Amino acid sequence: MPNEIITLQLGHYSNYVGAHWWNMQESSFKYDGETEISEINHDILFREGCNYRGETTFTPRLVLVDLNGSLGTLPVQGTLYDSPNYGKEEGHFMWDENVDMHQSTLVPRNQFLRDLHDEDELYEQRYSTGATNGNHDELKPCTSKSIQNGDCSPRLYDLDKEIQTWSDFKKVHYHPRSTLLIKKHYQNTDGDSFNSWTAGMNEAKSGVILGQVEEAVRSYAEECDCMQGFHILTDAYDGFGGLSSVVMEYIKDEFSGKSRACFPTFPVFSETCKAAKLRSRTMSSVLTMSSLLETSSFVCPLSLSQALFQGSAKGRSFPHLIYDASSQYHTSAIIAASLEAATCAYRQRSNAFSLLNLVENLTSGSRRLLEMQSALPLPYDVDQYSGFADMLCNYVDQNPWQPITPGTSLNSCQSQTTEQIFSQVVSLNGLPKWAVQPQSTSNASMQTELHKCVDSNSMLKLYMDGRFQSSNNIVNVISDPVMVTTSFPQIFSNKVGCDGMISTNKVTMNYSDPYTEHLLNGTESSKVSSRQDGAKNSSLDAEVIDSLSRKLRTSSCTAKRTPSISKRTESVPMLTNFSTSSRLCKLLGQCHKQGTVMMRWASRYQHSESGVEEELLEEAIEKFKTLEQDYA
Amino acid sequence: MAAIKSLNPKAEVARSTQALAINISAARGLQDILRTNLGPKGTMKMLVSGAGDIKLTKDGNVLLHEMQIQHPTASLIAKVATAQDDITGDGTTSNVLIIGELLKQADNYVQEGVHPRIITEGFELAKDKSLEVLDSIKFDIKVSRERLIDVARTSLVTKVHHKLAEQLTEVVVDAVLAVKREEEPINLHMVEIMEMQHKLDCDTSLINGIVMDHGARHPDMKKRVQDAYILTCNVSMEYEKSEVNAGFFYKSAEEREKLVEAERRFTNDKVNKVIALKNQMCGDDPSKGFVLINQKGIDPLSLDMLAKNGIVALRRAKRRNMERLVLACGGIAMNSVDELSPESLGKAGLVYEHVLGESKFTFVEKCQDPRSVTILIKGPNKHTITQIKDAVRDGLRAVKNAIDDGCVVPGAGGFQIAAYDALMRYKPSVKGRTQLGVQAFADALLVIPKVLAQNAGLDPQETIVKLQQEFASSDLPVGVDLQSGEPINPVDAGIVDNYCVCKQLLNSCTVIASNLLLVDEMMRAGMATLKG
Ligand SMILES: Nc1ncnc2c1ncn2[C@@H]1O[C@H](COP(=O)(O)OP(=O)(O)OP(=O)(O)O)[C@@H](O)[C@H]1O
Ligand SMILES: [Mg+2]
Repeated sequence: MPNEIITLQLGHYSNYVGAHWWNMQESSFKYDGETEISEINHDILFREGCNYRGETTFTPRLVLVDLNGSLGTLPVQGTLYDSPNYGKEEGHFMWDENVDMHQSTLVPRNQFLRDLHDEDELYEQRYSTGATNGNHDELKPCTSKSIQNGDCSPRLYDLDKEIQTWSDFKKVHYHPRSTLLIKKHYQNTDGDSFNSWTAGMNEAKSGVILGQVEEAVRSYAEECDCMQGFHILTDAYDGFGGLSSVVMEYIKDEFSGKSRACFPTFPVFSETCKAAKLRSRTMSSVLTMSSLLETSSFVCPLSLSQALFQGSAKGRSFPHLIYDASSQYHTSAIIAASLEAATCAYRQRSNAFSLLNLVENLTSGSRRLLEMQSALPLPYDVDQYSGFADMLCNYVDQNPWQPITPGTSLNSCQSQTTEQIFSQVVSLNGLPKWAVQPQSTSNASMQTELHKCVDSNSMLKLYMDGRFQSSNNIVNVISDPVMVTTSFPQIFSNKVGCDGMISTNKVTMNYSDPYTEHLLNGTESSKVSSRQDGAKNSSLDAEVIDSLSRKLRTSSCTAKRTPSISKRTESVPMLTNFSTSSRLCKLLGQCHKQGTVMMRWASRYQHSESGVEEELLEEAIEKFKTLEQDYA
Repeated sequence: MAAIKSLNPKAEVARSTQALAINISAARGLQDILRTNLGPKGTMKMLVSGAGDIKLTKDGNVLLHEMQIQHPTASLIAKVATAQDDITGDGTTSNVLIIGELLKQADNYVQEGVHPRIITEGFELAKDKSLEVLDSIKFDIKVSRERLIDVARTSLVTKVHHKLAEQLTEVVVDAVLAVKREEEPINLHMVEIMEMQHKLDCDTSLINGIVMDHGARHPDMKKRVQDAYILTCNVSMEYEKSEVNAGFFYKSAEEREKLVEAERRFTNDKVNKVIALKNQMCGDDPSKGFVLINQKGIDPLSLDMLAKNGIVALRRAKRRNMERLVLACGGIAMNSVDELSPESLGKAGLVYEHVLGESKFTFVEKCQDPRSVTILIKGPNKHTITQIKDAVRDGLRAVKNAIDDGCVVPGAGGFQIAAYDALMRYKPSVKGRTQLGVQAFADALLVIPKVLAQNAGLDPQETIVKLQQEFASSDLPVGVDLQSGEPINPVDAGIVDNYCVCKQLLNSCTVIASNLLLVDEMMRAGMATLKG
């Protein structure tokens, strides 16, 4: 049974995160011919359907809301369900009199989108010929199609300057019912009309959007045999905060037995803004957090911002990432990768651990605020460690991950002894098998209990239980890495290889996998023997070696210090963590404090809208205060 | 003034004469965009977005919503005009035209040194007089189907091709008549509009019952049942592990197992109650159908049980369909299965499923005296469907208005010609230069027949003269025949407008034009209108 989850993306930034996330999932699909079934059950988040051409489709079970003018080159209905005679016969009773054409200038597609489009066309042709031969089976489902022609190195794009909106890098086709727009409010206009929480609230209460969201959610739910719940990604700092508060009330009422995983998202506001804008941002954040805590199974705020409630902030630093904190394209990618990895905990085919289990393990009563932490990539340095145990041993008094939830660690070097961790669900994605083989070559004095574990699961469990003794730790291991292909920004430092492994010594080396290295260099590496039995295909033929070394040559001559287009990290091992701990006090404390500031402001400047807000603020402040104590 | 700035930071703070000029040019700009829309011979507009999205419309209201209007005055006029549509469902285009024309006429006098306040006083008098004319020219309809068909047709021919309009006219009228009850206000929500995208079909029909956009989710359930009992309910028939009994409270695996079992039994019990009612009602009679329509979910195990017992079951029905189903079929929407009884059931002569690509539709038809009906719109693509849907909505509103008003007004310029005539006779009784305001108002009203004629390729001046001559020589209303340009009696020709639309037009146009003329007070007045 698929245990379906319906995803909601409310707001522009959430749609950035979503676009990355769906792309990553799609990159990990395993298509035709491959016997190996993917570990992740993609039917949880995707649905199978059929378009007007009779093609099988596989699209996210998704409802998204954005502002008018935010879609760029993307038609509202998408293109997957175009009718075959689209645009040709223009209606039956058109109009006898004049028809005025008002054609806006077509938004140009970037190279990445053009290539995707060409691929779709190609597929279309193949499909129609395939269909006439009655040869359906070979055809993979019609999502966006990955590179077909056996070329394992897809074309490289430098999208950084091309991205105007999230549709500019989205490769997954959405279902026609997925995309909803708030017509009245425009993206990127100086009107700033949709900045306030109240604006969103009003739009939801008086506009048509709530009805449309309900309708789309309902029709996805109708298709589900055994729905487990919802993922709700929402912008929580503007009108979408108000909208999501209302939407969540509906979801809670209508789907009371289902889990509702809520992820409020915040970009990094790196530019200083006017006081009024900061105020409406703060107001919305406070009210949204308060309301979502009421209606969700859990709330896990996500942002790379170091400070949530300041006019301008810096982005968090990650040891192996070089990214632009002001780029929504960059920051959303990091959040999406973390989500992709962390949610694997309940999306595995073999494992019965469900979203509900996650909720049960991480929340209790009103304590529903969670924190996410993420190591992107896993700090596994092939030159430093001879196994995963070595790596873990290096993290006995610091965390291997960085928080993705804002406001929980204002000062990263703060002593961690005082904080209490209640419960955590950790996921390890894509650690190569050779990294957990028993290490006979290592220095005997270095041997620890960790080194004696036979698999990564028990190793990680032992590490977690040893390091976080008061916490209830649940460990998940997924052997597939997180895919960060074409559309993912190139933010990895040059120490990160194509496979996401870190090599501090060999900067230009792309393949950190010692087995490949061995094949390429013909040198004897101590690690090779351990790799042998883990290798899927122990006798790689000359052709593969040849292609690998060719690739290595091309990249080693260009990839010097700066991250360069010709070198690209395609997949990364990751370590992520959902946790609930006393650290969340700090976030709650800030919400509480900001709520009070807002309250003072609202009562001083009585303006027409503040009546409602004041009442809600009061409630919010009370709630944060009691929760603060719950988490202490 | 701080408030104005926050309304639009870019608003130019202009001095009064300049500001008047700005207001007039904004109003005229908007008028120029919309004037080609007016009437059955207006121009269809096809808007194609930067991503290739198509919008096909002739409706002023739709168009104004599509435009991103930045000029504060233009945006104010647009808001007033669309508010007109929110209230009455029609007259957006006329609204913009008349406001533009009032300002233009007034400007002529202001240029000559007449104070705007004098003009607006004249407007006010002329408006009251016009309302009198409106009351005298309107004529009662005895809610006859024929008259309502005129109303619907007049509305629809201004929105879609006349052949399509012909098709829609009866559908719209009969839909309203079906949901109309003696002594009760008409609730148009009881007319469901359902769309079906279909390659070759472009056909709209009225279904005497409910059409839903989903179907039964079990392969063994019948695709077609006759003479069916309909059970409408909002009861979860899913086994749900609820969050309340969270994992770590169980003492043992067995205990957990037991609870799971209990939960399942709890769900099965609910399903069994439905089955019991089915058996009670249908017995072994295979000709009788039993259809369960649930707002909540039904899981595969429950579906299985239902299917085995010959019940067709639909899950996750729209919230608003719960009410509609009961109005269409009778019975009671049940919130629990504990009090199921034969009285809770409705009846439908025929229930069947229709599959189209990945979508399924379920028709609940042949209901006796249904108080809720469905208009099913088929079209080859989304934008055609949307265009038809907008037109149908307008048509429904027009018919409802006519019934609520109990009367209609002659269209095709009929009212405006009569009002002009009356105002000209009234003018001499008005004191001093206030007369100029009355004159400006009367001239402005004529913009409607003029533009109607112009859009039909006729000479506006010539047409107006003809109409006025004809009107002078008879007591009957006179409108323009857009084919020939000759005067006709709009009532005989079946061209009739809504009374409430005309009335609202007179009021709102006067208020807003006056406000725009009295520039100093403009912004504040504008704000007040916006809030309303
Ligand atoms: N067959 C007809 N012959 C002449 N005039 C007609 C005919 N049908 C309708 N009209 C006139 O057309 C006018 C309405 O046009 P139209 O519906 O395009 O604009 P509107 O109602 O002002 O705005 P909206 O765009 O909101 O509908 C009315 O004055 C009506 O009397
Ligand atoms: Mg009209």
